[in-house]
Amino acid sequence: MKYPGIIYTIAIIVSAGLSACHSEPEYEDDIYGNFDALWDIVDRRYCFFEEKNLDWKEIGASYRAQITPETNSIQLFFICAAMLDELQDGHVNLSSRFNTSYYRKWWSDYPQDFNMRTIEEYYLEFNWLTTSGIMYKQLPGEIAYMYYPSFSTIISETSLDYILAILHNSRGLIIDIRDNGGGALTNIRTLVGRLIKEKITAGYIIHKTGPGHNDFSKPYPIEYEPAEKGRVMWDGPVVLLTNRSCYSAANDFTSVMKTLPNVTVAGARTGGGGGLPFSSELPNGWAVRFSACPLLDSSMQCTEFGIDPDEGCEVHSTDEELAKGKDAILDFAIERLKDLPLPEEKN
Amino acid sequence: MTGIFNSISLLARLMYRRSKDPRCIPSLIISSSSLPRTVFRPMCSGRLSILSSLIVLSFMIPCEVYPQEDATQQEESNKNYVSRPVTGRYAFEAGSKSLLATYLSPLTYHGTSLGVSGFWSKALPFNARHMIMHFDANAGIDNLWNPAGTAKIMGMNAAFKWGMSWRSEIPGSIQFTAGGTVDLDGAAYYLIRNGNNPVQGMASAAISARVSLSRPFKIGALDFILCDAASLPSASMFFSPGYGETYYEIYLGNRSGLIHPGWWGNNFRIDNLLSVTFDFGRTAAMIGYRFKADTQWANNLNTQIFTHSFVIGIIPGGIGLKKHPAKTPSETIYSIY
Repeated sequence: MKYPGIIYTIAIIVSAGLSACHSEPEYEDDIYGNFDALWDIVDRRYCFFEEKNLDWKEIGASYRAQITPETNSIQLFFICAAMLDELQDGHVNLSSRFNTSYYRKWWSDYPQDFNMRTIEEYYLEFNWLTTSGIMYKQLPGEIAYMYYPSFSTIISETSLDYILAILHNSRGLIIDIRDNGGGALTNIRTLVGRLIKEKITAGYIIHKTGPGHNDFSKPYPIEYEPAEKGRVMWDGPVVLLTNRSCYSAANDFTSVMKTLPNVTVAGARTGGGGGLPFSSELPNGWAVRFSACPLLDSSMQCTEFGIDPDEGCEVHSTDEELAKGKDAILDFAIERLKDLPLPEEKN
Repeated sequence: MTGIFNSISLLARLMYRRSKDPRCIPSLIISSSSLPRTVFRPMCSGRLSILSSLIVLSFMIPCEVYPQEDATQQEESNKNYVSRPVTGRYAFEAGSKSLLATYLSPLTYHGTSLGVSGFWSKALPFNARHMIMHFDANAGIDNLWNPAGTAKIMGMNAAFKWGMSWRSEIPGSIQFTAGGTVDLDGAAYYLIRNGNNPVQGMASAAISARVSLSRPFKIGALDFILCDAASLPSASMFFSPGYGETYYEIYLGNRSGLIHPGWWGNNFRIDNLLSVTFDFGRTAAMIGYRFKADTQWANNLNTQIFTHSFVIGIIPGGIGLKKHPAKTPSETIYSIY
């Protein structure tokens, strides 16, 4: 150690140099800088370019051409929002202090097939039970009915025990998730755990491993396990009701339920949303959300474009019928279950 | 008489041997130099009773005795006793932090950082002048904002380091230490408005090089020590989520690609503390500036964290800048630097 000070100084300088090896692109906080930052974030991180056959470079160039030095931030917002709409993805939003953009065509171009008032008035007769956000009742003919409007509401195991215990003496169970726009995937595990007797693989998840459009990890299986011992289980037939407004977690729930042998999916094709969204932001503080992690079904197929009902089970409820108190999708489910034996009759 | 001398000599030799044994402290030692050289024969059992009585008798014979801990020996003993106190430094740190974590955002966040730290060290017994052992712990919280002020990151971090250093004097009254530490670090940065990528979790185990230079100096009658200490993690294992991986996928059980071997090229970190220490009553006070860089590159994710902190601390008991008259130990080795 003849010259420790020199060695010490050199070590610090060399090390400081190494730290600068990985630099990130920097964008100015102006109209061009913010536009370019948005385009770049989506280019690096969005996960469905291939499935949607999108030329993102061309899209970016065409929208960038709409920007002029006179473009103000409100105009810039709408140009950016229009560019994001090209992704045709309900998980994509641009949020500023004055607006949040939202691609609505995944459901607005389709029939609704559902009217909450019709269910409440004509089927539940304004008399139902509610727990953990789930409305439930045993319908005439000993048919159990559950309506779960949002996966954002956490389902507690105890609440589910009560629901299934109260509804247990029924010919079949209808789980209605129409108009359910998604929420937490963990609620799927809670629900599915009551319907299975052994561990199942009902889907896969992949994620981006780099900025390239095709940089993806290997599919990782998503396994579901039965609820713990002592919980109230349901082993009878189930009909799951869906419509175009079932999105994201509701779409994934449909995909999982479709793999179960005692479940029939009836109604309309779901809206999709088969990619877990990530968040990011622009230099001006606007937030952007986009699909980043594709969820695949049990056959490793993309679920971004929705899940079809089971064969022969596509049913639509027209607005006219719904206004008159008739829900064709719910009637279809009731029809399938009404002649089945009660649990005590099976024994 | 020969028998009596024989027994006394035996006793003396036994006592002498005991006095050589560091595990025992004899209360009396008979001056063996006054005894004639004797030859020991194997003792037969028939002589044991006679020998025992002679031993008892020998204590009744007046002879020259002295206590072990007389003044001369005390002095001699002190020369061999070195005090090695545990020296601790406790500090509060406040400063600014910048964070770029591309898992969360492509923007660099800036804000404040607060923390507490402790540093404990001790000279090692087998080479007290040159070897010191040290333990370092710190924890902090951060409050960071994006450039537009529309989003906030809350951070928490903690670190522990244990290691040893070699200490030596180099020309110019400079004390130089060089050594290594084993480090454990953890941090979490929570971006409140993010959905499925809300947290940049960081964890690492590392082996670090640690060096310091310190030099005493005076301003008027006041003694100071100027010190610069740097820690440089050089080989590590660190955690990073996948580029677009959610914590939900990790929760499902996909652990592949999360742990990475690190070196300066992909996990460069440095912790440098420049400080001045001075006596402050019966303790010593320290003020300083800490620079920390914590960068990692894995799974195409870039994380760069830089902290600049003002540090103020105390060292209870001081570090020996003021020379107190040594009472028991002949020397006290302080090991903070």
